[in-house]
Amino acid sequence: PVDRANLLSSASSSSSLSQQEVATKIKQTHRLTVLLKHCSEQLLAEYVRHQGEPFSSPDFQPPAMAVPGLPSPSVPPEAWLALSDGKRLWHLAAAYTTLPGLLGSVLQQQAELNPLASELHRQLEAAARQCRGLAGNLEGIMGALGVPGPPPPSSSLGGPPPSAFLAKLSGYHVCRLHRDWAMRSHEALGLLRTKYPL
Amino acid sequence: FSWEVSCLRNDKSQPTLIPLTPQILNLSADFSTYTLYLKWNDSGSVFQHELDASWQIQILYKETMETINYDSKLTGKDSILFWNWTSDIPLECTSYYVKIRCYINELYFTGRKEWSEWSPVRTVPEKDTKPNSAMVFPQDKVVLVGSNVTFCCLYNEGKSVKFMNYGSESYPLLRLSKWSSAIKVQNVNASIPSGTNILCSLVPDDLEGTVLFVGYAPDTPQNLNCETRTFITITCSWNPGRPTALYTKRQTKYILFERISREKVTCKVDELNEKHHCDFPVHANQKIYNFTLGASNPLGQAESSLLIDVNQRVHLETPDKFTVSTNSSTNAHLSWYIPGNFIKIRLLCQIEISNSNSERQLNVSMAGAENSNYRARVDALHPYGTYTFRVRCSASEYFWRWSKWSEGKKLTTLEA
Amino acid sequence: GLVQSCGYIIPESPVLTLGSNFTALCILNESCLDFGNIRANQIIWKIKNSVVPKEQYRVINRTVSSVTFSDTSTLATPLTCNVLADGQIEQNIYGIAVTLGLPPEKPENLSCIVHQMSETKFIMTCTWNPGRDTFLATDFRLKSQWPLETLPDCEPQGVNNSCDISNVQFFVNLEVWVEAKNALGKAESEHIDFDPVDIVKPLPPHNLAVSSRELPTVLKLSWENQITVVVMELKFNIRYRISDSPDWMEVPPEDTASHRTSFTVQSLKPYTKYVFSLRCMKKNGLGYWSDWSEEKSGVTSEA
Repeated sequence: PVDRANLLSSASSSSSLSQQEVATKIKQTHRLTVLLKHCSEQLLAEYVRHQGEPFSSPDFQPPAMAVPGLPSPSVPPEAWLALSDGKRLWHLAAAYTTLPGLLGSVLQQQAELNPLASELHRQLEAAARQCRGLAGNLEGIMGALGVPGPPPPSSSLGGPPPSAFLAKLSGYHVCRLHRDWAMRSHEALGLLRTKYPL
Repeated sequence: FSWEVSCLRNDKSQPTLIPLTPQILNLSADFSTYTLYLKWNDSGSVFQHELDASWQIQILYKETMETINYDSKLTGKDSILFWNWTSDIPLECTSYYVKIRCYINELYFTGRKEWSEWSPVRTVPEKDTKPNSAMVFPQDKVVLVGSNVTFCCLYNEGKSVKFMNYGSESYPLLRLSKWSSAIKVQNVNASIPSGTNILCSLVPDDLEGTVLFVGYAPDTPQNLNCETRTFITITCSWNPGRPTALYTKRQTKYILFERISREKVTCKVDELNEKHHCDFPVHANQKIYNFTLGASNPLGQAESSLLIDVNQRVHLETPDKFTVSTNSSTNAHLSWYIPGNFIKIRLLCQIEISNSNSERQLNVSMAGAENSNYRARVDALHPYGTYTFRVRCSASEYFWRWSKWSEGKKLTTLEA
Repeated sequence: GLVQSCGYIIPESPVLTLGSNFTALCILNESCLDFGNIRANQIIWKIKNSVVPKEQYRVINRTVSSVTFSDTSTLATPLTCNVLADGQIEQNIYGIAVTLGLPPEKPENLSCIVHQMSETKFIMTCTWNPGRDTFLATDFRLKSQWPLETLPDCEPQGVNNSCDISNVQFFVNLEVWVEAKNALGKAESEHIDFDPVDIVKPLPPHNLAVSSRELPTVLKLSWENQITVVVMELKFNIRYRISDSPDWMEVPPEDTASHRTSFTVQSLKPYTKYVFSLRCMKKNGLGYWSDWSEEKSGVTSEA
């Protein structure tokens, strides 16, 4: 409650949204994270289906691989929950301003590796759009709550990957991180929604 | 300084013919084709006459080595000899060391003849040090269905291979060196569009891999047909035949080459579409076109040819803007538009006239024009009769194909 | 050799607002004055082939004559500048094409609806009243933006009063408006702001099945919803009739106001064949009813 009170007092001074409008925005954004979580799981399944074994086998668990500009949401749950609402929103906004560029790169690589996989291309395109939408919503909420915005996004996965395997592997890690961040954002917005009931 | 010195050393105690140690001039490698290229000087100028020489080329690339024999003819002057050798495993997989020695088969020399010393060892450039990062080779290779392929995994010191998979199948590991292991895969099947994955799982906790694209060489383009719709371009269409299982930058590329004008066109092909086609410009004063359609991909090429007289391959577009009108009880005026430049030929148009109880077709021949409207008059209609008209056209002199029918248009003639 | 023109008209090819006034100038080349012995006062203005009344002329100087129209509605193409060479032969000096029209009006009544096309495909169709005919090539664009991102324009295909957007994003507020532009001006509709999830017309439920129960007065309906619950929860209208009767009866809406995939209809006649159909919409009432589903029949068990 202390956390929220601070946010509210700073919110009212820095944005024109009323308490009701902030709560409505948070509810809408929470619904978006529900959709995002649902779609990100579908995207990961569709992605591995087109890369061939062993990507498509259930027990495929490659070692984590750093994706430029996109940290994995590896902060343990307790530590994540201990963060302030503002800090959590800041981490989410940072991830969701980076993800569209990464998903765009994966789409380019998959158009080259899997030219016939139109459903995969559609889902990658939709995922990038959803992330852009979520980034916008998050920035709206952060503005309303007086939380500073995230850093500018790093654009994409860098140049074309040196090999087809690295393209598949980096694409896999982006889709997996997208799903992990969707679960984390769903959790965080659910928490925020309880603090800002309609 | 005589011939003994350069390729021959006289051993005073017992006359023995031992060629001097040869020197390798150059050893290079083409990693994409797994091939080593060796170059050395045979020092033939040592002898005044032709002699048979034998060479042994030794390649060390595994615990065991490989020795290859190679014969040449010394010709009394120095000549550079070239020789190449293709490995069955990627050259990146291990270091290669090569040395050679020489034996002169001098028939008139009665003493003992021995092999020279081995030349100093040469190694494939920059491949003899330990790998700086783990990798699997070959990278993104394209092979024919049924090929046997060897994959190797290079890794750093302190690491070891847990397993290597081809697709979902694990294969027995072959140890090439301290930092390199390999698997041999036989008779590979066609891969999925994104290629078959080869995984090298390393301890501790590292994963490397590569992708193999397995497909077919292009099939001979089938049902090659070339026709003109407008006398502006000739459109060739064909069926690609057996799918190659290769896509995007590995897909089949088509080039349409015309022998008479020696002009060629690179065809833009949509790999998602079964039927392929390509446009070639009609030349003002060229009647005969000798086409060759070349198909190529990383695994091979094929071609089909077709000779046509463009005047005999006119397939008109569907008549458009078809109108019917009348100001009489027994005839009707028809008009339609056909795109294209047919000034040089006559057209044959077929008009279908149908009503509730009859249907007849009228053939009308007319001069061709350019991007023009055409007209015809139909007589012998019944007063106050309701008719449906439609029209199609083709070249008159050399019939090739009818155009599609125009849309139907209904008309009622005036009362008598 | 090439015939050098003896003059020209400005403005060259004007686009003029219907009902406005307009003045054109015909300017003779100095070189022609001497050669043809012609002066500005000899100029005759014509619309098509009819001479413009002389009262509308004004000689500015010896090389320039103007003509003024108080209402461009009388104008037509071509407007020509001519002289009587040597007083006898009428010689055309120059001609211009005149295009008449109107600036676009403010597009009105902008509204949008999201049609569900398949389980994952949605198309948003926005329609508006384009206003009066402008008699000119008028370009309409549907503009849209998120709070922090401008989205690509939607270009109407073959019409000027509607446009389809295929990349619909739910749960992100969208601002939409129409821009109309032609040679005579530009106009912009009111901006509307909404969450696309609130204007959805979902596909009707499908795979409807009707099964009888032991109780002879009830039939159980079950179906599949074509829109995922992740996007929206639904409410339903269920209607039914005795198979040989045209009169539909409806289950009270309050009974089907919550998300579901089955419903048991009660108070039916035993051993009677009924026909059922249902439709759905967003549970909170925002959006549009789907079309009615395919009809399915079932027979209550005997008493």
